[in-house]
Amino acid sequence: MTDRLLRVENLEKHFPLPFLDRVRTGARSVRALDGISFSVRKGETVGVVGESGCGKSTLARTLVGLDNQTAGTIHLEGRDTATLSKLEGARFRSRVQMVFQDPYASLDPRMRVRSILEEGWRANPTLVPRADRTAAAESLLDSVRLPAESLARFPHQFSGGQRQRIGIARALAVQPDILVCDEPTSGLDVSVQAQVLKLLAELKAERELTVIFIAHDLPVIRSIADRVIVMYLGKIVEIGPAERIFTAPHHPYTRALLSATPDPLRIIEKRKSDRIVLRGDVPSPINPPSGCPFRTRCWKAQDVCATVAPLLADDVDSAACHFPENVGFTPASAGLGRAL
Amino acid sequence: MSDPGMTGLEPAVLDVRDLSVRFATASGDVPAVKNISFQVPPGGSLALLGESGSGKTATARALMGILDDSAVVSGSAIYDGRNLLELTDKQMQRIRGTEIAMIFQDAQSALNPAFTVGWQVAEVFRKRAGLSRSEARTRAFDTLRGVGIPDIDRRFSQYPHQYSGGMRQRVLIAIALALEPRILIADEPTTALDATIEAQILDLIRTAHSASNTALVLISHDLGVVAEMVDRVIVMNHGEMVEEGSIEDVYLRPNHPYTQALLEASPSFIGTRAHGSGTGRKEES
Repeated sequence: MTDRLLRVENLEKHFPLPFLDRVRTGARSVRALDGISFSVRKGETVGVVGESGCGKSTLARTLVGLDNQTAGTIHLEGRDTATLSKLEGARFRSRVQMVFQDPYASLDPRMRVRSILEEGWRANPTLVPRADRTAAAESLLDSVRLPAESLARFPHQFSGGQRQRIGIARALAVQPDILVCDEPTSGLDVSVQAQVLKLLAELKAERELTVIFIAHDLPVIRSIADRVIVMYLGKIVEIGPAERIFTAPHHPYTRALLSATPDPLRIIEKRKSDRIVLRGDVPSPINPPSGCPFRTRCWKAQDVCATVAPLLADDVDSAACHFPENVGFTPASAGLGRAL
Repeated sequence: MSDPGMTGLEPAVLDVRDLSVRFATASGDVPAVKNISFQVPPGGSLALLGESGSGKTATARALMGILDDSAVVSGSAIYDGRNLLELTDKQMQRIRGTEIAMIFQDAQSALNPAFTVGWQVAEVFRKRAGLSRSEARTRAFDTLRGVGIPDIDRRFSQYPHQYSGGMRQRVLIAIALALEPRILIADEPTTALDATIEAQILDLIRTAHSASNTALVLISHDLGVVAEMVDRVIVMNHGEMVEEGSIEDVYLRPNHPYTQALLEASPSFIGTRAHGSGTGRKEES
C-alpha cells in the first residue's frame, strides 16, 4: 500500500558470541532480533515496548542504518534500503533520524551546538546552502524552544532536558520524514519528561513527522502512541492499536506487563484488577526457550507452547499466542486499526 | 505537629523535627534539605516523593548517618528516646542494620563483588547477631530462600555478578530484613529494574512490611510505586516539604501548585485522562 512509509519484513540481527560463550552455551550468536515484521504509515506514532534485552534498541539502530541486519528487509517507500547506492544511502539516513536515550553521551562534548546542528548539512550539503546555515540553525533552536545564543555553547552548559532538545534539533536538521526515538525521556525527571514529550508531539504535528517511539515505560507509550508493538526476547509478541492493547491485551505477557506497572489512579480508586506477578527473570537471549519465548514465565503454558512457536496472524492487530486472552472482546476503537 | 491525628494515638517510632542538611562546597553552602518534619508510626508506612535534587535521598542518608563529611546536619530525629543526629559513629553503627535498615537503588554496588552472596548474608548473622559459623550459614540459607532466590543450593556460593538485577535486589532485602529491624528505609528500590521484576520486588517488600512490625520509609520519584506501597506521602521540592497527607488527599486533591504540576506531568495520569477511565478495567482471572 502506498501509505506504508516503512515496511520491515522478517528482520533478524544476530550478534556473534565471544569464543568462551560459544563453548559454554553451544550457541553461535545472540538473536537480538528474531524475525520482526511490521509496517508504519505516514504520520503515525508507533510505540515499541519491552523489557531490557528484548531487542528494542537493536531494532532502532537497525532501522536508522547504524547496524546492518543479518537477514530480512527494510523498505522505505517501497525501496529496499539494502540495495541503495552510496549517495542514496546518505539521503536515506537523512530521512530516517534517531533521537538517542542518553543526552549526555550522544552529544560530542568538544563540539559547540552550532557544529552539532550543522554536521548533517556538511554530510548533505544540498540541504541548506552555506549562507543560510546560521539562520537555519537559529530557527531549529527556536523550534525546540532554546534561545539563539545557545549556538556558541557547549553541551556541558545545558541541563539534561535541554540537551535532549539539542538532540532533537540535531535529528530534525536534515529534515527527516521518520524520527526514531530510543527511550528519549527515560533519564529525565517527570516534569522535564512531560516537556520533552509535549515538544515531540508539537514537532510531529508541525513537520508531519512519522515517529517510532521506543520505551520501557507503558504510561509514556500510552500518552503518545497510535499503535503499539510489544517485544519479548527478539520477537514481536503482540501488535495492535494502542487503545486495544491497553484495554484488552491478547498476549499474556502484555497483560502481565500492564498489570505490573503501578497505576496511581487504579490503586487510589481501589479498582483492584488482578495483579499478575510473573515468576523468575527474563531468560537469556543466548539460549531462548523453544517454542514460545514467554512460556517459561507464562501461567497458561501447556505442552504445545514448548514445541510450536506461535505466530502473529498479521502485522496489524494480533498476538503470537496459542491461548490468547480477551478473545472476542473488541473495544469500539479496535476497528480503526483493522481499516489499514 | 503537622498531623495531630496520628501523633495522638501511639508514640512514633521515628520523630523527625526541623531536619536540615547543607553541603559545604567551594562556592558556598548548598542547602539540600530545609526544615523537614515528619513522624513514622510503628509498623506504618510513609513515602518521600520528589524529583532529582528534591532532597529525599539526603534526608534518608542523614537519618542513617551516612552522609558525606561535607554535610552539615541540624534538627532532630528521635528514635527510641535518642536523637539519631547526635549519636557517635560507634553508637550509630549498633543501630544501623539491626534497628534501622536501608536498601539502596543500586544493588550492584551495594554488594561486595569479592565475596559470595551466601557469605555476605551469613556475615550479618555472625557479626551482628553473634551466631556461630554454621548457625549463621543455616540462617542465611533460610533468609535467601525466604526472599525467593531460586535454586538456592547452587546460588548460595555464587558471586553477585552471577545474579540478575532483580535477584541482587532480593539479596539486599534479605540482608536488610535479616535482623528484623523496626524501620526499613528503601531508597528507590526498583528504579533500575524492569516492570515485571519491579512488581516482584514491590510484592516482596510489601509482604515483609506487613508480616513484621517493620515501619517502611520509601524514597521514590514514581507516583505509581508510592501509591502502591504506602499510606502517607510527603511531596518534596528543592529540599522543602511542599505537601503531606494520605495518598488519596495528595493525589486527588493536591493543594500545592508543585504537587499539581507533578501530577499533571505524570504520563500515568495524562494517559488515563486522554483515554477515559479504561485503565483499571476488571478482567476475569
